[in-house]
Amino acid sequence: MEKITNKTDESQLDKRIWLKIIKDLTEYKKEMIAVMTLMISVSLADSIFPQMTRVAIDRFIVPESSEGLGVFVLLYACLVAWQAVNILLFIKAAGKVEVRFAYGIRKKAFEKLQGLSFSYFDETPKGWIMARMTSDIRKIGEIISWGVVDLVWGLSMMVIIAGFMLYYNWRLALVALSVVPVLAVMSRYFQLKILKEYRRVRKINSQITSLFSEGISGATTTKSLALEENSFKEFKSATDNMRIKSIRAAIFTSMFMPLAISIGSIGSALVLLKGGSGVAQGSVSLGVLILFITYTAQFFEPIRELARVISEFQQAQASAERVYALLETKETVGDFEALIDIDNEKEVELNGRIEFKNVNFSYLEGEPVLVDFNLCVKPGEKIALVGETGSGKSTIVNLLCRFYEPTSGEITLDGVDYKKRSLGWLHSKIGYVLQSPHLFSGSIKENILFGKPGGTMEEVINAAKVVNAHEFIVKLDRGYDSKVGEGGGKLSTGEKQLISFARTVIRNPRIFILDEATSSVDTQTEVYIQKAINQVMKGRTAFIVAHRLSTVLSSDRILLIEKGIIKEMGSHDELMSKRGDYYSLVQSQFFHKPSDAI
Amino acid sequence: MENLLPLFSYMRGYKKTYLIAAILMGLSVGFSLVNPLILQIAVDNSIGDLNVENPIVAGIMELLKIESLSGYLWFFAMLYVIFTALRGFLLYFVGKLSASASEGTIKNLRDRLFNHIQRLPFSYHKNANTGDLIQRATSDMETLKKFLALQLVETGKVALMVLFSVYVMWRLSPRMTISAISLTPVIFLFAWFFFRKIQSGFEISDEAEAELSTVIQENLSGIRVVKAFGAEGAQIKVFEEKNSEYRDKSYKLLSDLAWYWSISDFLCFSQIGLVLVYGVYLNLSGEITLGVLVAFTSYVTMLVWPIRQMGNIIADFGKALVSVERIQMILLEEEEDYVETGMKPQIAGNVKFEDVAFSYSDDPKRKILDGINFDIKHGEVLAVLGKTGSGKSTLAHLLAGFYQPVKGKILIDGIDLRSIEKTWLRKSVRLVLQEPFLFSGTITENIDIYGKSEQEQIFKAAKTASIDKDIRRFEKGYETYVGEEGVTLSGGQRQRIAIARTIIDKASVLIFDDSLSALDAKTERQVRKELRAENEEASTLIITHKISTAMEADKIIVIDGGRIVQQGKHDELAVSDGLYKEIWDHQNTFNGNIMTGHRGD
Repeated sequence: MEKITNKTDESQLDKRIWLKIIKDLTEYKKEMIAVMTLMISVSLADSIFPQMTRVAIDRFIVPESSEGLGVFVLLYACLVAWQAVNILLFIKAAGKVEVRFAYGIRKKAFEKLQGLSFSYFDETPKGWIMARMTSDIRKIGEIISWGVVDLVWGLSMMVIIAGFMLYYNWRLALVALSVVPVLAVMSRYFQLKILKEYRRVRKINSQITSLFSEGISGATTTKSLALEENSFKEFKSATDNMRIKSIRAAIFTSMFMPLAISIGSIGSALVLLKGGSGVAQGSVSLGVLILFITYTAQFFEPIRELARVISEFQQAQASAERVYALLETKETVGDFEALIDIDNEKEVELNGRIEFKNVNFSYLEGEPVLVDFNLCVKPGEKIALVGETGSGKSTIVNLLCRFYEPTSGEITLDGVDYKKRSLGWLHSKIGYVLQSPHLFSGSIKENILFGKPGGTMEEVINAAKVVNAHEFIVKLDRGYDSKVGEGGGKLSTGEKQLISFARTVIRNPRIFILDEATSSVDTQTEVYIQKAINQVMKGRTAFIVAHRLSTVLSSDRILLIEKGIIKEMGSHDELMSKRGDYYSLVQSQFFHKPSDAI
Repeated sequence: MENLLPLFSYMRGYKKTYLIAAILMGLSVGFSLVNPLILQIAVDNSIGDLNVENPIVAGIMELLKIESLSGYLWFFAMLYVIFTALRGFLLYFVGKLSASASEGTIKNLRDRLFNHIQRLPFSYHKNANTGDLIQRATSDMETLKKFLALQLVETGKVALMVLFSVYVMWRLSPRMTISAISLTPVIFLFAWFFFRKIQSGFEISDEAEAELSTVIQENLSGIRVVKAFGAEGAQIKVFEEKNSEYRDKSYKLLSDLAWYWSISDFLCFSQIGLVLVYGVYLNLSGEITLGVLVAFTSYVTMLVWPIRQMGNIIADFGKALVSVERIQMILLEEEEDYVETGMKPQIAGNVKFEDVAFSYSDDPKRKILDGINFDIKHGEVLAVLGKTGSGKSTLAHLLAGFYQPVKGKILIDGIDLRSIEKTWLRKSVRLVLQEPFLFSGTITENIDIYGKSEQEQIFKAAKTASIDKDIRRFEKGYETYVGEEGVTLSGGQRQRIAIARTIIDKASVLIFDDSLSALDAKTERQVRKELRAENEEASTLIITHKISTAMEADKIIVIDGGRIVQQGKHDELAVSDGLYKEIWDHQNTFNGNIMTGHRGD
């Protein structure tokens, strides 16, 4: 969980992370250069506009001459057009960088996720990954485009204006710029403060959002426990908190602007005073005076932007660190060893002989789940794994699927260590049906084809028929094209299970693995599912993590697992006559009056 | 526009604050218009040596017997700072007041909505589209908040600014005023039209992003399936499609926006240029002074940028109204009648259904339940068995007071259920739902749901619900976080925690609406045994479709098509022809052959 609570010191810029981003940005070198050039061009135009007023005053008004007014109008028009083009191009260029960079990094991250092993997903909450994939990546995209835009604009604007002012009258320039340090320090302070306050507000806001979503999703529960008062109280304290914090944040924002314009006005007043007497003495032209007053007012904007953008860069750094942490996660399961038959891998058939040799495994160091586990399964044999929750039976199938690898020992398929085959090959031979069947949004057909991309409609229908799903599917409004909804939400649990069987059948796997659901479905569906299981197992090596003894009955060999070792092993009849743990399990799980049962 | 009315009603209690903020804002706008005038007089009369035309200034000069302003530049410089500071001072209060008004309004509305949703009837929630409700409560609320906190204030400011500045400018020079506002309608209309048109672009881009999130979400939820099927490649393809779609759609939006900013900037700068050139022309023809020209260049800048901004705010205005409508739709739903003035009797738990019939109000002809007669005596266990859709859950909902019978009576200790206060009733008559909801928080918080139980009581409830062992297996035990962002619990674990919180303190009537369905057979039996031992006093109603669950009850009633078709004890029902025996035989052949070792087919 360390990576979740991991906090970064935001008051410092971490060079390493920005170097990584810059490295990834080299792909967009051209666009980045275009954006920066355009921003310099924008700020140049922005600072030339006041110059036009100066020219108008000094060339036309003071000498009272209209000579060259036509040229002036033309120049002004050109300037406006130039700025319009600048703006069009820079937004397009920065937009391109933003969306492409975010796209690229999201793609890399998604591919990374597909390669990571189960242990990563065990340790990392889904919400954490979602936040990295959505808001964090968006933030990085924004900062490397619009953040850079504001940064370059702010800097060049300040340089250009200061340059112009120094050029026209350095004394007056120094007077005008005297308030800049104060403004800069104050802006920095307030922007940081404001960002922090708003982050607090956003945090409470998301708390309110989740309270709302809980209040709504859990409304029936709340009512049945008569908890309306309690939850309303909790909600009210959150909104109270929200109100207080929001007003606080708003107060900081409302304080900043008045202070800034007041300090700025001191600059303007000083310029007016000094420049005015300069005009009287003839050392400053009227046009230059007006130019200075405008520039002094204009100077504040880039200062504020810079203060804001720097704070945002610091914030984005935290996002970047989390995203790069995801990108740099080490894969623990993968095709690392020298693979055999890699060239004609597709032709390598699997008979289905499986052997666990002295397999040890633990999820956490020091907490062994499997201990010296040995098992040999003949092709076509059906193994049922029974035992209590946490006994290690699910771990056995997880290892067989190579979702995890043994800590020591080896697992062989047809006599070959499975690490010497590719993961792709292994998974193409395995059909895995999960306890809670997860369907993907899309049609039923698409979901069945998930098991065999590119399969024909005929194959889809055959697979559905094998597991008795065809009947209910054709009764649906749009048959095989009916949408299942997100997570299969539009289907019943039983229907979802049947479809998950169908998508396994269509693969025609050599090994069939079933992690059985504990939840009960109504009797009719139960019959269907049982039939489907029997169909799917035909002619295949099968591993079943069983919760229903009816399923156990269709297996050849039963393994009672306890604390990571095989406690009892044999057929149902053998184990029943042994009158051991299996026997008492069957006893306890079924009717207390066995005589009734016949 | 009829949605404006509820919007105003939300502001109740804050109208005065808004009004004061508006007045202060008016003053600050007035002050902001003074500064260009100060500059004008400074340039014309102090630096330059023209005759003072401003009547106020001229009046003051006469009063103080000042002939020329040429030595008083310092005074104007000071005035400039003072007026700016005054304006700043006012702006601060405007910001503070409008924040407290809008935040207060939103807080009240949020509280009202939340409380209202909680108090909507069970039937509403059963049929509600949860996602849509959450959407309304959160993002529509957010739209409204943005409108109240930012857009409303900004609109007021711009309106005042236009009004005041046109007046001040007109006093300086009517002809210049016309040139200064000539392009502003175009700027406004362009922004307005553009943002109305681009709305769909925002939606398209948001949708593409939502689709992308869904793909990631589904991939993460189904990562086991993806890996087991070696479908990583296929998933990457699906993702790639959505990822590039989002990239292209958001770029399309950005490039449309690029045109907008470019064109509207072009218009704004043209407007400023027009003032400058026309001002030079008028100055040369002696109609206006240099100071007036300078003042106008300030005024025009103060006008054009906010007016451009207005275009998109007004375009957004429609969104706020739609949000009001969507929130109002919830608020207008009728709340459940809690019978607040009803009785609060001590409930012992004798339950009696007398000829109860029920049908939903939207389909009164279809009888969900009809002619239901039974009773549960204090401490008895009654099992209700029936197929899916037989009406057995409705029975539970009636007893918890979520619905009223259309005919007949339900009596608790002889008192008609309808006359008992609902909250009171539900604290004594506790219903455990089939798919219970756990609140975000620790397991302790979820079990100690009323927040007043001792640690020992919590452990005991957990033990009774056979969840104690499971909880202790978690790394953080009872402090494990559950709910949306917490650990993933199995359906069975959730059901057992729900049972634990239901029995945390003594209830008189317990109703289990198929709430043991996700447990394996062994655990289920254990839970039932413990429950029975610990809650001897409580009358219990168990609703199920499993014979194994029903058979241990004191009494069993079998429901089919909304009517009681059989009742009695297991031993009687198992041997008499009827639905019970049918189900019994069915479930039996299924499990029964285990004992004989025959293979299931």
